Amino acid sequence: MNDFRPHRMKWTPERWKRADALVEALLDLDADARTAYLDAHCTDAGLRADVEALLAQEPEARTLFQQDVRHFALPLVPDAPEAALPYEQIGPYRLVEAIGRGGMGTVYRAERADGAFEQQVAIKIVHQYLSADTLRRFHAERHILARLQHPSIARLLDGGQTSDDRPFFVLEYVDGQPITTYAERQGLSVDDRLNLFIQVCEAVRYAHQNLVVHRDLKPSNILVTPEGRVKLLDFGIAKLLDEGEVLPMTAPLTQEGSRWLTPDYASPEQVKGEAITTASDVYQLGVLLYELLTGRRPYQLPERLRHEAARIILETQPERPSTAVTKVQTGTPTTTALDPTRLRRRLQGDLDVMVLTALRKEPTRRYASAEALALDLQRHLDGLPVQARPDSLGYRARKFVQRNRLGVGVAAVILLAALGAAGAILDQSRQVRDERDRAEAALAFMNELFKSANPEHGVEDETNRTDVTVREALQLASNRVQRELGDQPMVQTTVAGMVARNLYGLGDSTAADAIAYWGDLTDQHADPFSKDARGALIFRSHLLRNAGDYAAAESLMAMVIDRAERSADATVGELASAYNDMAGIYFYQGRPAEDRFRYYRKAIALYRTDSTYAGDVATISANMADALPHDAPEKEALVRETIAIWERIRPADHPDIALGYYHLARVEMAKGDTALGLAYSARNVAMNDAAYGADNNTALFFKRRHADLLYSNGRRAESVPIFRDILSQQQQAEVPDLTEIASTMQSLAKALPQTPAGDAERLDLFASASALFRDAKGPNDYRVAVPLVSAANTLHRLGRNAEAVAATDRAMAILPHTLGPEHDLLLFTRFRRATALLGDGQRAVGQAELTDVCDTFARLERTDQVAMCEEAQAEYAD
Amino acid sequence: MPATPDVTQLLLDIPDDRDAAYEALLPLVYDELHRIARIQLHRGSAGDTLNATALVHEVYLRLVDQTRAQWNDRAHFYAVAAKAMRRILIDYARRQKAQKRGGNQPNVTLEEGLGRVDPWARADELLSLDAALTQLATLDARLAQVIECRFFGDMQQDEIAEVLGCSVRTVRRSETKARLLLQDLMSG
Repeated sequence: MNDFRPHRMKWTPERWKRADALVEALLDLDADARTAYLDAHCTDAGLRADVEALLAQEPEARTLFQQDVRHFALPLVPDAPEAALPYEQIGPYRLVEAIGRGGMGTVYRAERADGAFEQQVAIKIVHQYLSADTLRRFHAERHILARLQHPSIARLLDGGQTSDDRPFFVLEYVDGQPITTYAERQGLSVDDRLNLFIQVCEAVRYAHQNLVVHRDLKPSNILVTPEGRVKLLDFGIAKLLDEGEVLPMTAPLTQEGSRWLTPDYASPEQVKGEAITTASDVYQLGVLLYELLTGRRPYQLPERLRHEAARIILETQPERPSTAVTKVQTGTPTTTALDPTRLRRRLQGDLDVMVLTALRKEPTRRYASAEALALDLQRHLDGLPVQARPDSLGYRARKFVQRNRLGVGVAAVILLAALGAAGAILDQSRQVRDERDRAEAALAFMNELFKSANPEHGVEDETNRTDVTVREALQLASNRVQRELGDQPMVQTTVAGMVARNLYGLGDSTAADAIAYWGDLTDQHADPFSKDARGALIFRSHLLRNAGDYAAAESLMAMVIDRAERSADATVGELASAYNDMAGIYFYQGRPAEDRFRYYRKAIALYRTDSTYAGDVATISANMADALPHDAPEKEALVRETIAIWERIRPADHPDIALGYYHLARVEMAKGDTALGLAYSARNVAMNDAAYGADNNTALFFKRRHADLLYSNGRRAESVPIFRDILSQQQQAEVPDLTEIASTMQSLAKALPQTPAGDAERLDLFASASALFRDAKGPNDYRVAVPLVSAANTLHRLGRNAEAVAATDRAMAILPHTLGPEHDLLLFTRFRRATALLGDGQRAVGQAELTDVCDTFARLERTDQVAMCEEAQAEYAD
Repeated sequence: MPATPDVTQLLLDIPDDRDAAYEALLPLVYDELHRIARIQLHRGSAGDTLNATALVHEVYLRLVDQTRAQWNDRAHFYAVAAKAMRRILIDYARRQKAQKRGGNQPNVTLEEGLGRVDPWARADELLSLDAALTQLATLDARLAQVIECRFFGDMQQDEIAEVLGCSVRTVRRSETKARLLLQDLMSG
């Protein structure tokens, strides 16, 4: 970009003022309406031309100033020299070095300057200035804190103000490691960890007894000395500083514009800016226990989206610790010492319940005190029954209803109808022998009700209000069924299944709990070959699949298939959909198409036996078409069959038909008919825009595919502004879809020109895409690695081979978690690493890697890659 | 480092003489922001990366007496900080270009560890944006301030509305129009 030089003064303040009035109105109008408006309101042809030119720049304009300012600041602002100590001496203490820095202050190691004692201390100097009044209260509180004398609490020795009136604290100097780090490095067992944690509870109990709340318990404030003694830092300091009402932790998150810096350990009441009590410390102890036992925090909070983080903390249930440990990837620091399978069994039951009790949203429903938590843990260690009770689904349903106040009119009528019908039938069911049939009848009724609230079942124009009310009805009815049918576990199981299926269908955040509850009931009460047991397995498998645990999802689905194939009551629909699900899991695992096709063919053969499954035949045809390369002879027939079925059974402009045209576009492109292909693709985009609205995520998804097609067909320059437009719309979405944003970044990065500016932006985009995938999918998902490999390609092309090697190293730390050793992507990454090593002059190791990868490609008969290898080997020969 | 309790007073004075108060605040904020930026910008660790928001917030905590300041004072403070941030970055960008002419061009490693960025290209881009923004301010000061707050101050739209005394919708519209004009000015 060149220096900015206006070449003519098109705009003056007066002229802009006139234009502004027009622009203000035009922004709300579409192209035709704009023309009409200008015809009616603008007689100055010159002004009109300038206004039209201005508005024509909307796509490019949106990208201006969209980057984080850090994008500029990082390369421009030079690194500072080591921060000098701000004071040489404070009171009788001489500062030695800075040892920590946090939101509220900087901590220095210091020693007594007068040599009176051989004493090391930690001095925390606060970043803020306090008024005289606040300072007085501050001094009073400080004396209370100084009285806390407990072997597990780092003592507050002294305090005061610096020469320039900043408050400081002198604390006992603790040489230790954060408790989570310590537990890991020492390889502590679960029992050892619990004993250590009980020490923490004991210190917190002591402080609470002395009316001091910590409010900022987290691993960096809880150290363990080399002797294994727990030391809590910063007791009550958060409260002291909060007098000034500035502490980021306690600034209400929901208040617009407030800054909130450390969400991971924040309790719901802290997030909401409500009163902080000892119960908040109990909650933070729960978070700590969760992390100590599983290596994960209860919630995976997105870094950049603080309202989303608040919503997660306030509204979602954490996974049980025993489930969480199955998802921790090996190599996560805190858990390498413990074997996941054994750990899962160890946590199931008592420990799950105790941790979740400490983490409850409502302060009054947690353990009443740190002591109660410690006592319960001790009972568990001693093999005694614990006090905590699992949170019931019924309880959560009541809370849900309280949160979502009932509507009026139609919505309320539906609710009453649901309750009445379920209740009446259930009343009868208690008096007759075949209660099972009765309950089924109630469920059938309610299932109908819920289908109408779930857009996937075809009714598109239900209002949100009705949707919410149906959830309420569902949960209330299930509540009643559970209460009244507690002595009839089979009926309860069936109802639980109905609730779980529907919550899952509604995408409700409590679906996972409902499915787990249903699964527990079927495990206890149902014959493993029964429909109920199979149904619960199917949904458990779906949950695992959605969470990315494909191996576990696969093994459950294999059980479903095995049992359904051997059960007389399995329907065509159930078995075929299990086959289709299995193929879907294979898809996510990146298995070869042949494996998937085995199951697709079984599914489609079954579905074809019954014409009511025409839609499913179409879906599977589409899935198969999806799996085939675009030039496969079978593909076009599959796609055309799909479209034909859907045009017969779906309303016009239905997204499924649109999807068919997208596939057709790809087929035509593969056949070489670019014009027809792009026309089909444009048709897909138009249909999706019509069905969803242009700023909808799905519509944007296909717009990106369209731009991808433009790009891959030599219309690179055209694709760039479309990608930018999509990206900016995705970023402005109410709930941004991180995965899609990252994918668009990747597409845009690839489409940028190979100029210095293009390459710089490209590398930035790849880095951002990788970070977003990490936020969205976890650190070990293969998608995190893909942009790294792309970046390595760019870096290699630019001759920056050392960086390319580093990027491939990072990718190789990720890929083997989810991909087999012969996956194309993994092999390509190794190939790129080999060439980068060679480019970097590391001949021996590069040559060995290249030979190894290329031999593998040759063995697997991957023709294209073998050709790529030969080229590389020729380039780096000698 | 001297105590600067007068920052709070200056903020409290804003309703009376806004421009004068802004002018008086700017150098104070500039110095502190600059100092902290140099120390912290490159020091972010995984859990505690410092972004523009956190940076400004830290400066705010240091300079303002919380017991006297109100919420809208804070919004005003952020607006001043945005201006300070702009000046800081522009100063660096100019220096960068001067160094380039002098043939001394340092490479800076990005935190992602992925690559090196040519600081000179960034400097150039930033100076272009800054010049266009200055030009925009002569046409419509409010539009320019919205962009300044949004970009250099990393402010939310509701905070900007507070500073400008207008609705959030107006801020949103202003942002759209400002981008259009900037694009026009830069390509014109």
